[in-house]
Amino acid sequence: MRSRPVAGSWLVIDVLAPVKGLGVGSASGLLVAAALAGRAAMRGARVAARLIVGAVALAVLASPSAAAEPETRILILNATDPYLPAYQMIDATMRETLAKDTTRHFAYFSETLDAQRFDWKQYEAEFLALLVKKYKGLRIDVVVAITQPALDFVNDYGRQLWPGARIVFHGIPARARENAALPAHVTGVVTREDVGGTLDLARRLQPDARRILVIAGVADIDQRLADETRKVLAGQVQTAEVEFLLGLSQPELVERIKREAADTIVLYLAESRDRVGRPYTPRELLRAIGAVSPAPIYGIFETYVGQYGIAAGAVESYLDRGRIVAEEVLQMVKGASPAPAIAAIPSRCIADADALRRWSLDEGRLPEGCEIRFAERPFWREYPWQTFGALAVVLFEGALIAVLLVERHRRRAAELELRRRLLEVVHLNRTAAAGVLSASVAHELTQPLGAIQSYAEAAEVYLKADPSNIGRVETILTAIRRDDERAMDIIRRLRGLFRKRTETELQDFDLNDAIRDALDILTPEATKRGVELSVNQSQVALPVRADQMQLQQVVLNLALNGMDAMQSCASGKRKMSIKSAFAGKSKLEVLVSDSGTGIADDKLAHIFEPFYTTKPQGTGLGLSISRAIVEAFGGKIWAENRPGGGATFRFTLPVAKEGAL
Amino acid sequence: VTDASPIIHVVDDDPSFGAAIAELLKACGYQVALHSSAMQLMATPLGSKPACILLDVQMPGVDGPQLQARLTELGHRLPIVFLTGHGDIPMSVQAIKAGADDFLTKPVRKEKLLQAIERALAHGEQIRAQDRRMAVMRSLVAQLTPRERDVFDLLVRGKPHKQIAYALGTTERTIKMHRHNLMQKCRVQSLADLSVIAERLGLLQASSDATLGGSDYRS
Repeated sequence: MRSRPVAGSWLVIDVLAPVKGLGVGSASGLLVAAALAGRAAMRGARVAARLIVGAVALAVLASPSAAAEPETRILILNATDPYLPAYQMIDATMRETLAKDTTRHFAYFSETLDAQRFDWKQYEAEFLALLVKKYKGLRIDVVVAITQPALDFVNDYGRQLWPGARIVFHGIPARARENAALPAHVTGVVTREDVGGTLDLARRLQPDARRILVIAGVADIDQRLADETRKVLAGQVQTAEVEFLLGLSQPELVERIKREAADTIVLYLAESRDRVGRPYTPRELLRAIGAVSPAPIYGIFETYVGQYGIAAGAVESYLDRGRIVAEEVLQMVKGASPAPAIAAIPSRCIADADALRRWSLDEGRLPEGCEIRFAERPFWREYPWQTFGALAVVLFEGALIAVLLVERHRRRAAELELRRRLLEVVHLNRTAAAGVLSASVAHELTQPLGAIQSYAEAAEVYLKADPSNIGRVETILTAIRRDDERAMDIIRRLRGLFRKRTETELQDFDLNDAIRDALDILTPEATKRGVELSVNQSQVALPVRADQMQLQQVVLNLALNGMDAMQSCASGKRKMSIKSAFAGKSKLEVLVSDSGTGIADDKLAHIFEPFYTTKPQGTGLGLSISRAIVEAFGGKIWAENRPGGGATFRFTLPVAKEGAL
Repeated sequence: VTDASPIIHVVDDDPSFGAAIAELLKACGYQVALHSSAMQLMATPLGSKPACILLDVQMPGVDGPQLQARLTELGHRLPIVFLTGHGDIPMSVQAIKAGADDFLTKPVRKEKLLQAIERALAHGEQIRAQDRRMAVMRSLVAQLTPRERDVFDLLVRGKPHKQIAYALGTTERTIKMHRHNLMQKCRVQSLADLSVIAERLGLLQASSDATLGGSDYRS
């Protein structure tokens, strides 16, 4: 079915959606009428909703009162159960095909003799009487008689019940009609129950089969099929043993089939009634045994194909039958004379890929042109647009992800580069500061060096004296060692200023240590410049997470900047104070205040910008680097003028987590 | 080292350098007083013994030149030898102009240091000798009666007896008597010697023509 979608037909598209699943044959009501394919299944609420819409539309279509224009009335007279999946499919296809003739409006009536379940001859008279009453004065154009009893009934009573009606039959084996002459107003479609073709197919698939098991019921149609099979088998040279299981109940059959060998050919004809008179839907019974059978099952009806159905069969397509019946009906309606010839339905080889797999049958053995249903088609062929869409989305997302990854990589590289550059600038800034400080560092260095020289000369004097003063010399040597140590310290500090670093070193430390480091360097500079330096450090530790050397540099920068600002002040008026303290619970603060010239208000906003300088020798980097460093560790830096003159530079840093130190 | 040895006041904020210089000077036979700041020196009674000051130029608070100025203001006349970390020419010129005896650069050789100190001490000795002479002259002049002092002031300005007599409203004879007396009191033989005393004590500029007899002087 899925290989032959019927275009432009809402009903077929909806109902015959090629979904394998639960059958709806046992359900009832309009919904079932719409669900024409017995093995058609519904999956998902959307399909169900469409079915309901379809069913309602069908009801409206079928209602005689809905017809405003003269309508073509068609009576469907089924001798069996019209709800059988096969008839639903045929009926739907027929109506579908007829509906294409838009010049006409068709109204449908249906009756059933229920002959497969009941001994219908018992109530034939009453049934006839009922119909006479029902159809009195109602013109019927075409009677579609389904199966032999229905045709017989129409032949007997048609002229009386529906005068002028022409008759189209179907569901009657070709063999039964072979020699029967038909009146002019009767034509039909004969069925070829292709037992022979099906058996051939079975043997192709199972060339080594030792047994053929034939299953059928005891209803008329069942028995007719069984007889047909016997005839076919009798006409062949048998290499396999043949057994018939006729009229067994479902539980018996299920038990029986379970024991069957896997290489047996099971031919399921139809079982509408078992020998105790219990009725069955043949398709449902097939499903029950199909689920448990170790041996492949074959059948002659299209409705048998599907979940737990037959592996393969030479079947007549009900869609074909529905279409051909419709064509005959249309000919009759149009008044073709003589009536069109009796049509036959070609049998098709149909196989179920799932079933073939389940019973380990080789698909390759099927004759050419055999339709294989439920074969797993590549997903992209099944849903080309969805596949294309999904693929496009995946590709797009992939591309997006790739772009983002590249972007991220570039960003990381840029960040690394930025950090490296910052380190380089920081280093430049340090060496510049070291240059500025070199004079005071040199001066500081002369103190211990000069001391050592003087001590050495004093020691010489003591040694040359008569008597020599050895005790004093020893004291002097101790002092010399101490001063030497001090000189080394100064050189170490100087080297620290010049040391080049390639990484920012994050560590937890006391901010006061960084300030102390800076003060070691700043104190001699302050002395040299005649700046009075007062320090007010927090008594408690100020835990911070940053790079100690870089923060030391910030303090150096701010202090040197302040000292520069005091260059023009009278000596004795150059005062600088450095303070550190907690500012609230989560912040630390360092203040560097000077008594210099202060900062013009319009420049306050710019002094932290790179290359912005107010000093003739300034590079304009010290403050901007200080800002970069402070901000890198989550802090803020700003400047303000002091009310009494001079400026205060302030920076804050977040307090490191408790217990960091 | 004896009590008679000159005292060297070492003023240096750097404890190790100061201590080393002090040690060296002690070894060379001086008395040493070590001061870590200018303020500390100023708080010390300097006395009249032979002494000099070895002063670091760069110090926090009051630096070397500032201390020098302060001492001069206070009338202390101890010779000063400056020490500096690096030869700062403008600063040394300023210091020498302000009366520094020498200007040394750290680190300093013993010989240079001792030479400078000896020179400074000798200079100091000169100052002290001069001071002593001045003190004698001052005491001699102080013995004069007011009348004799008036005559003295006019005599050293080269006024003739006649004019002095007229100015003081007395006779030439009386003036001659005063002149004899005051020359004896001042232990001089000639008018020229008397003029030298007046000049040394700065009495010439001090009293103007109009105000005769002012006994104050400015140096």
